[in-house]
Amino acid sequence: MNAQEVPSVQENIPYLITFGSSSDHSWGDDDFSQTVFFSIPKTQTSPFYIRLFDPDTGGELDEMSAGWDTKTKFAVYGGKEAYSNPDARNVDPKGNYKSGILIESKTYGSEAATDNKWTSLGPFNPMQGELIEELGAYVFKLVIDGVSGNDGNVYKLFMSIRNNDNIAVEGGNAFAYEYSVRLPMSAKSVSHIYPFADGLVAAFKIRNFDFDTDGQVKLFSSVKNGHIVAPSGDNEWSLSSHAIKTEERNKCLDMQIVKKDEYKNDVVFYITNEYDVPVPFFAAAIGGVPRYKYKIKINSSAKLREK
Amino acid sequence: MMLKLRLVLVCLSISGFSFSQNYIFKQFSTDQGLPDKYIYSLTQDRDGFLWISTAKGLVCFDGQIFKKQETSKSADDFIYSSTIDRNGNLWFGTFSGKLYKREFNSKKIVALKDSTGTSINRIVASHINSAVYLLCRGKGIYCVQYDKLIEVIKTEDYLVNDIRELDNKRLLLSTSEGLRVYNSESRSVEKVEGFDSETGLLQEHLDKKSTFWLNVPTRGLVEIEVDELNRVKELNAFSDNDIINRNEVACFYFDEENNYLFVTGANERLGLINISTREQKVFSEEDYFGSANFMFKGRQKNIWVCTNGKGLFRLYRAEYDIIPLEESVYAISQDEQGNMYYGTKNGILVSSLKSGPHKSIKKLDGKELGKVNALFFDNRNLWVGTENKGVFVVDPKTLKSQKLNFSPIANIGINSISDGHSPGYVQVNTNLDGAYLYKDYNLLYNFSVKNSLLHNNVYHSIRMKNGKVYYATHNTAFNFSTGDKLYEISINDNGLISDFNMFAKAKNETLYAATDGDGIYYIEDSIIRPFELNERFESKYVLGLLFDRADNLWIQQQYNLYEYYNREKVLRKIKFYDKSQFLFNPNACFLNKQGDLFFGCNHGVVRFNAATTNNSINYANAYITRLKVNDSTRSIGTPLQLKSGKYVIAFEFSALGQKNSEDISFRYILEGRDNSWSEPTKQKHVEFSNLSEGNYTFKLEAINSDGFAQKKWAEYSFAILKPIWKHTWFWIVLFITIVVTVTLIIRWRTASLVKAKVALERIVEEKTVEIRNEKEIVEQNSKVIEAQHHEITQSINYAKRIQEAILPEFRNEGSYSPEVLVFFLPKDIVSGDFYWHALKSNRFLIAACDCTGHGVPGAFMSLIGSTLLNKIVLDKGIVQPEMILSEIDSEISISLKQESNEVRDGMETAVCSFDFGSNKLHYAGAKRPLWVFVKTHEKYKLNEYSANKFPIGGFADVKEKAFTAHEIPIAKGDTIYMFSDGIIDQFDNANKKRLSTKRVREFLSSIVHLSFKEQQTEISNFFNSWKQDTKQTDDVLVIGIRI
Repeated sequence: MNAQEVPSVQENIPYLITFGSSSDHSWGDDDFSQTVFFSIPKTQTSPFYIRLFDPDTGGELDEMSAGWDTKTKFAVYGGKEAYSNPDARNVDPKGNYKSGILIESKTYGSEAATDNKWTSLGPFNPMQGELIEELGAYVFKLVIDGVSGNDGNVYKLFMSIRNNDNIAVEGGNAFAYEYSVRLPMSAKSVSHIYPFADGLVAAFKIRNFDFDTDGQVKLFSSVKNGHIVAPSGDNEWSLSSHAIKTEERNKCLDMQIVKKDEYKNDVVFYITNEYDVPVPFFAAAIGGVPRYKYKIKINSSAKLREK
Repeated sequence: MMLKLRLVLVCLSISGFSFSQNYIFKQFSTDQGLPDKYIYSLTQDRDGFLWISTAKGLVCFDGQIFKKQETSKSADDFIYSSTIDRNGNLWFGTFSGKLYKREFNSKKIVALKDSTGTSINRIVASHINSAVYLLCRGKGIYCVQYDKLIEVIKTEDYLVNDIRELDNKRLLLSTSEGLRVYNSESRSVEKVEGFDSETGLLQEHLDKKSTFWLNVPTRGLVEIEVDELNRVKELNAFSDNDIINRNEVACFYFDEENNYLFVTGANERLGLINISTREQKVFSEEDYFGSANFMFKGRQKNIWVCTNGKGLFRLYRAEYDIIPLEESVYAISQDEQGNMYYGTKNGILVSSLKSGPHKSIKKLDGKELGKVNALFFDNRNLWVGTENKGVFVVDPKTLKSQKLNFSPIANIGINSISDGHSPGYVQVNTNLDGAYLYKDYNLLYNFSVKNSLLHNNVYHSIRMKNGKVYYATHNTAFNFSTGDKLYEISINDNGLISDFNMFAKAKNETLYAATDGDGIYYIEDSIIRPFELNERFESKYVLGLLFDRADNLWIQQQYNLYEYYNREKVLRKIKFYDKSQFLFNPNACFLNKQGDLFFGCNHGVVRFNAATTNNSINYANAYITRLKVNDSTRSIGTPLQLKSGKYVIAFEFSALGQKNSEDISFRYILEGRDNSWSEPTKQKHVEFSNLSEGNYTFKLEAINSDGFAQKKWAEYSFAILKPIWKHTWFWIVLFITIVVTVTLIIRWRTASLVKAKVALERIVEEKTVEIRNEKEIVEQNSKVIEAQHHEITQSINYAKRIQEAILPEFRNEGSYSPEVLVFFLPKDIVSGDFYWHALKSNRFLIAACDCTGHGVPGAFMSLIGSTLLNKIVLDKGIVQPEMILSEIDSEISISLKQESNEVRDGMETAVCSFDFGSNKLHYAGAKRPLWVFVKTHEKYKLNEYSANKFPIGGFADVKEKAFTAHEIPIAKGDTIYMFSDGIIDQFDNANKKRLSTKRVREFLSSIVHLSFKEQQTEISNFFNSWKQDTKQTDDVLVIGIRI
């Protein structure tokens, strides 16, 4: 299980996507910004890199509007408040969402050098992150902003101990509070998002944007067997609430997106609790991917027959 | 005549890299004392200390010890950047935006009040003034001047990666958006054309104004020049290559001195680019691998690489480099163009100064050269001496050669070729046929044993300024020639037994000789002497000698090379860092025109660069890091004066020396205790104990890896004071104090005495008056007393007469009157003893009484007693002694009222009643016995009759007093004695012994036969002779009665 790949293999989401700031929201990005957090265990002392796949906007993968004119900035923050500032964990790029200390920043346009290739930011010293004792980890924040243009930048991330290879940091993880993703092309493909239900949450309020009603969105857990999540239409938000039961707390749930048609679909997801506080999605589901536990009812006649 | 022969030149590529500069790597990490493995920057202060920024604090490194510095009480230890400003102050910034300054003069670290609020990624010192620029990602550029933080440019939309001053008003900014120029006058930022994508680190040329090396991530390293109109001209560039992998340069350093670029690329490898030749060298992964943050060159010419997570790397350039030829080199020379020639076993290798493969000359005149033992350049042509193919001369420009006329002996070998006695003359030294002298390539003369050469095997020859040519031969002596004449120098007296291999001459024309087993000898003033440091060589077999430009002597042995610093008299062994061992060849050493030294060895040539070998010596500077007195740390900055006592004084020290710092050793001396310096040691502490009082100076010097002791040592002086009593002044003060004290005491005593005397005199006077008054009183009283005494005495005398009047007189009254003796001697005027006598009823009654006390009281009692006896006997008619006593006893008790008071007076009495009719004596006694001497045949026998043990009167507690009646027959001649205790209790003259009953008994027994008159005298004499001058104890009464 690769916890530091965003999106991860388990999620079956091929890419994250961020559109240039001049894009139309109907392309599938509500705010042209994406924030991903990386956590490094306190015990980690070796340097690490945040690797970017195809960070430029150009070439085959990205979504061209009218000529490649988009620049995307990848900025890594650490230090105090990089994570702990509430604005950092908001779903929208408002307030001091770039809190913390800027460690490295790179802006990519349409350079061929990074098109369809991995490149690296770093190296970083784990101590440059914000130490979050409750996570037992240093946390870094990667803010991806579509600073200009109207194209869609499709990319992937990986937290690695090498700058030329994807080798995960032992014990590391990645999480986000909002996902702007490109779903798989193929029809009937199933993508996953793993929101984490903490010990106090009573309900999930699940929102998605510009799904184009391209299939179904369902929620699974040990006690939920495909609760239907309201799908959004074109350039619109949808909202549905789902009560969280005791058995589901302190675990990740599995939100499955089942595509109907075969076309590029870029969607935004985020989940809040009943008080509208955003809930993190983990690249690798904490506690493993949840499975529904079937309850088998045995009637009395069957019991008698056994006797 | 020169023979023009066709020269066959074979050019082939020699495997091996001609750019072979050796760097020695050393990695420093947490194991070596660094607090962390992340190193962000490094700088060197004016004292030579390196200041290292780590994620866990600022560290100072002296080459030996990493010492973490205390910055502030807060835990803001993540040091991100540092620099030294023009005034020598150290600035360092933290990840959280704090800025600190360590002042050069005070060495104190102070925190600036203002904070940038974000990480200070880089600090760049101004070359123009004392300002420093802070680069803060996400915020912009700040300037600190006079400790005030000023915002220069706010750059929220792009990042400034580096800056440099172009002049006093322009800053060149390297940003995430390309190059820009900031004009401080117009406060405007102008984009630089042609550099609009991200640019990284900048480094300026120090000797070329406005010229920089710049990291351009998409293009590699570019050398640029910025003109006054902010136009950039590209001068040079290095793009994708073995080092600048994918055009990505992680970090670089431009070594301007050597014109090298040190580069780490995306592949985390470190490489070196020779900018002049464009040659590259990638260092081994074993030497270095990691992500570099920063590179720096210290004053000791070490290159330091700060890494992410790998600590710190130090590269220092070995003083030598290896020209790898894969062949053993036996001879070396250089032509006028600077091309180097190396003689090998297969001919000659030629190396141009520029890069490229070596050329190989294997054949001359169509014939194999074979092993080339000697190469010599005579300013025009190259002389080639072979092992068995003769001597050739080659024109280096045309490569034409000729074989010279030579010895007729076949297979003769050339040992060396050198200058003849005058310019234009060349000497060819052979192994079998002596030396051949040539002029203009024509053979002139052959020096051999035939003409007094000591041996035909001539290893080497050297020409002195005076034209003498010395020959090193297979002999223990050697010749020199002037022209065609040979002379011999005998050196047998020096005990030298080995051959001479080679000569070298110092600038002062002192000749040094390498011997084959006896080390080095030198000739000065025509005397040959052994080299003073011969014992320091590992081997006494010296293959070659060479003086460099600095007149230092290089000594070549088979396995080792030494350098002898002629002026400093220091010998050092060259340290080789290569894994394979070098085997040096005889005579294969050469000094070229550039001053480089070459030594031929088994796999090429070891070359010492003139720039590095002749540089000034890198002395290490020792300094004291800590002083402890009895385990308590004391400040080194203040002089130490210790009171007298026992101390353990410990010094900890280190040395500032960044070159080969691991090999630095120390020696020290404690002046005041030691007479000589300690042996060199690598220990960094020393402890002294049992120091007596005195002044001490601890001197410490560091000896660098080459054996050079620093010129000025570190020192610290301290004193242990004498005990106070060891000071002269103490004794003077003590003496004065004593004198003053004694004087004061005397004065005080005198004053006191005078005062006391006055007081005493006053008292005496007063007392005298008083005594006089009292005397008068006493005299008056005395007179009174005297009068009273007289009166009393008269009264007592009168009383005596009364008492005497009452004492009976014994008269012969017929048959009832025996002869009576009375010895009566009162102690005082009147007596307590008395005697009584009466005649009643035909009885003669007599009593001897001893009343209580004597004198007047006794006299009173005697009166009472006498009165009572008269009353009882005469009035009452009682004649029985026991009844008389009973009556007296009761009468006294009544008279003295002894029943009711405490009057104990009474008397002891013996009463006798003689009945001469019946010749019987009746006796009763109260404590007074009766002695009866019965006369029988003229002899006397004493019968003693005891009295009752109680007196009359006095003891009221004795209720029943029954006196015993004794009836004693008497006859004529019997003598009876009664007496009081006065005679028995009398003390002798010494006042020690009483007379006692026994002595009285013996005395009376002795005189009983005498008449009473005689007895009277005898008793008196007896008593007085016993008493002599002693005071009489009591009244004395002795009564004798003779029947």
